[in-house]
Amino acid sequence: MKSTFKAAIFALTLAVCPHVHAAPLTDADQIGLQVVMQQYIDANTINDGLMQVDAAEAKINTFYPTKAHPKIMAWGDNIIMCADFQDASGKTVMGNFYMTKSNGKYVVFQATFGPDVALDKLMKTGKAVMAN
Amino acid sequence: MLPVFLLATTVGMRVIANTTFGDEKSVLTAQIGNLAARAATTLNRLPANTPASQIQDILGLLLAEPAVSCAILMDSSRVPIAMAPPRVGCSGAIGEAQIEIAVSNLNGATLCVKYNLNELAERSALMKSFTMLAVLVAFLVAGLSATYAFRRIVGRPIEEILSAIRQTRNSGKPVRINISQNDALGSVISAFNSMQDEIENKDIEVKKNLRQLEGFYNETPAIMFSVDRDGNITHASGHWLDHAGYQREEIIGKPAQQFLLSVNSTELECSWKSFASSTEQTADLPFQLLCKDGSFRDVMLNAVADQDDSKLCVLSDVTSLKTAQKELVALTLTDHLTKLPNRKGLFDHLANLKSTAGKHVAVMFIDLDNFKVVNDTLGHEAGDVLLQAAAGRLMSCIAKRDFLARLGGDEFAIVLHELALESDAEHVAKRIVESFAAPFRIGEALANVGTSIGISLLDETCNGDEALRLADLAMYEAKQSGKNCTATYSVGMQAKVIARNVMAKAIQDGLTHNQFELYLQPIVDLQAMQAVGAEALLRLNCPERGVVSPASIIQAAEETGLIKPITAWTMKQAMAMIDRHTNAATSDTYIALNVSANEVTEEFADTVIATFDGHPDYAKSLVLEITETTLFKKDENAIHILSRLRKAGCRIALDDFGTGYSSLAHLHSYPVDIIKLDRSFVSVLATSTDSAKRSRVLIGATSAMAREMDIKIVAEGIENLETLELLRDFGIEYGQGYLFSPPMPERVWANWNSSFVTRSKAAPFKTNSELARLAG
Repeated sequence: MKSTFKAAIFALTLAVCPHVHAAPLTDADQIGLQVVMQQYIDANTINDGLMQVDAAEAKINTFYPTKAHPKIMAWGDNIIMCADFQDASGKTVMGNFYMTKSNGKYVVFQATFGPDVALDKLMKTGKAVMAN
Repeated sequence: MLPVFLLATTVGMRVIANTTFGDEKSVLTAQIGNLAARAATTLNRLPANTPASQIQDILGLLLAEPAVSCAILMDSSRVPIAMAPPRVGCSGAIGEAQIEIAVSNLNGATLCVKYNLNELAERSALMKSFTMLAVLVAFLVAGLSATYAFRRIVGRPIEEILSAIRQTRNSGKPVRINISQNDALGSVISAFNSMQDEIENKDIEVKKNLRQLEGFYNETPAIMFSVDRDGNITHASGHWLDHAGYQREEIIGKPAQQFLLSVNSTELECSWKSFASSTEQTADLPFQLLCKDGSFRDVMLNAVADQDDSKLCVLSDVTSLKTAQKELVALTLTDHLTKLPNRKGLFDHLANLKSTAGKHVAVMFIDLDNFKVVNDTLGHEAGDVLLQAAAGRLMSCIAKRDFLARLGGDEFAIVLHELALESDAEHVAKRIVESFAAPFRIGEALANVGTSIGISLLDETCNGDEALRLADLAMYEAKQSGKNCTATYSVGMQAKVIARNVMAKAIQDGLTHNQFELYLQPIVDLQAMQAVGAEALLRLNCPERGVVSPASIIQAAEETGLIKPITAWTMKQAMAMIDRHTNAATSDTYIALNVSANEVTEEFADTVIATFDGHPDYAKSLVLEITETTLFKKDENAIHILSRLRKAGCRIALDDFGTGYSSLAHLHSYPVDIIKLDRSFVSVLATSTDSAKRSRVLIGATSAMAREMDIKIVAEGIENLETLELLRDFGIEYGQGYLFSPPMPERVWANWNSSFVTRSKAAPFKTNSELARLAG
């Protein structure tokens, strides 16, 4: 009986309490952010891919866009969006796009490919949360 | 619990729906955004002169997404350049959400895309509703199924068990359940049925034991009953009912106290308190059982307390015992011969005496005179008849309020109550004495019995017992006064008693410390002038009083009953003297012993005769001296006793002859061998007085008659030669007196005897002058 009651309380908590995310984005905001990310990718696409300097390996990697992630994360007033890419070997690499508002519009100020230590840390510390 | 579970499930489903909807919307918005961005990028790469139809085709691609309602490419003046759907554009999509994307390469054109997510929301709502409905239906179905299953699997068996329990409880008979299941409840039912079987078996056994117990209870020949903690009767044995005469319904539920009573309320209360407070065992509480017919039975109650404070009680009927006890008590207080209260009854009565103001209470001690003669001559049965008749006469002389008791033998006591004057007791006593004047007729015989009565009065200093003792003293005084008379106690009597007690103690001490001694006074043959015997005279060498004479010794000894040991001692000493000083086989010498009147009894004769056992020759050496008075008073009985003694070989001397009541005419009828002339006659013989003349006549006549009857004469009190000479002249054979010797201790007897014989031989007593010389 006690365990059942506890389960009920837990379910109610899940239902009533908001998810851990920033202030919800409107549908229009979400579409607009997707447009911003897509326009950034289109604008920076060279020979159908985005190019990046790999300083550690001293080479240039090219990542080809495959699919945009619908989920959007917020880091304070900043937005982080993701999309899947493939490198030249066909391996899927995730690209993270850090955006901020400028003159009322979002603009991408940094894009990362591959493992993103900074984002992991932001998520672990709860600074970066889901925004939709 | 069900609503909570339902709520939790509903909320969970809603959360899942919301999440799913959010995910779908995110995907949709991402798609719309991507499509719009791609379209804007494509439009942006078009040359400025690109035909509107081509632009329209590109815009049309956006409509591939159902959520996109329309798309319009507007110039910088917001005039549509191209639209999709063609011609319609967004005219039908008023109020829908839209995004605008700058297409700068087409002369500052703007791509406006309108989209509608309501369909997604509606689908989501529908899905939520459906989910909710499905949950509800599922719950409803599950609930009904569970209820049905519960009722079938659990409910019905439990109802059956409950029903069986109810039926068992109501009917008292174990009821089984006819359900077979292979689950836990089936085991419960099986266990329940087993339990019912066991209960039924136990019940049968208990009932059997109960019947057996009831049988024991009712058939055991014991007056048993049980009471609850309030003392009400709960059971009673058949024997109880039979004994008391009640029907069972007449006593069950009634307080036991209603049937168990006591004549003594204090005792009853005490018994009930003891019974009620007992928590373990009560033993032998006395009660009286009230029977239905109103009679009572004496019972003793024994009870054992149970754990619930009820008690099992057993009554023992002790009525017979009590009756026997009462009869025994009555018997101990009653004289069986006269049916009068006995000595103990008298003492009980005296102990409970209560004085009445202004009235006197007197106690009489009555002793029948000469009763022993009746007993000895007519037999004990006649004596008993006389005692009954005497009791009747005594009873006729007293008032109803007075108390008559027989103390034993021929002694009675009367308690006179409520006397107005002290002298009234004496009047009653005289009336009693007078009533005994008439002889008693016993069969054909007549018996003359008188009474000697002592009277004492009760006062503050004298209780009942003491009064009886004083009355006894007074009675003794009456006896001493000559019998058939009365005496009232006075202080002087007490002084006599004290003196008697002092003498009694001296006698007792004398016997204990060998202070008695027999003095011998020689009896001399007046012709041969030699001792033929000696009169043994008792002396008590008392350290305080010196030598005490027999007169005071014998009286005190007879009054205190010490005469018997004195007699025994005297006889023993006399036999020893005979052994030492006489030749029993060849001579006639003897030892004479004085025997008082009261000693002449059959018992005395037995004692004397027993003394001769082994020495039959000693009998003829023993002379027993009795007084005339003894013969006169004892009459036939004394003659009989003396005859026995003579037959045994003893000789009888009649002492103090001439002073008593016997006449010479009766002398022949007495069993007498020797007459001892009293000193009162002898001592005056040598004088010239009238007494001397009368003495000579008496002595002469006595001598002549005695000679004829072969009776020897001993003259007492010879103190001078003249008297001796005169006695010789009268032919008197023997004499004793101070002329020859006063009484002397035995130790000097032998010397005296030898010297007397020597003197007699040397100078025979023939003339007065010679006698005078010898005596000098």
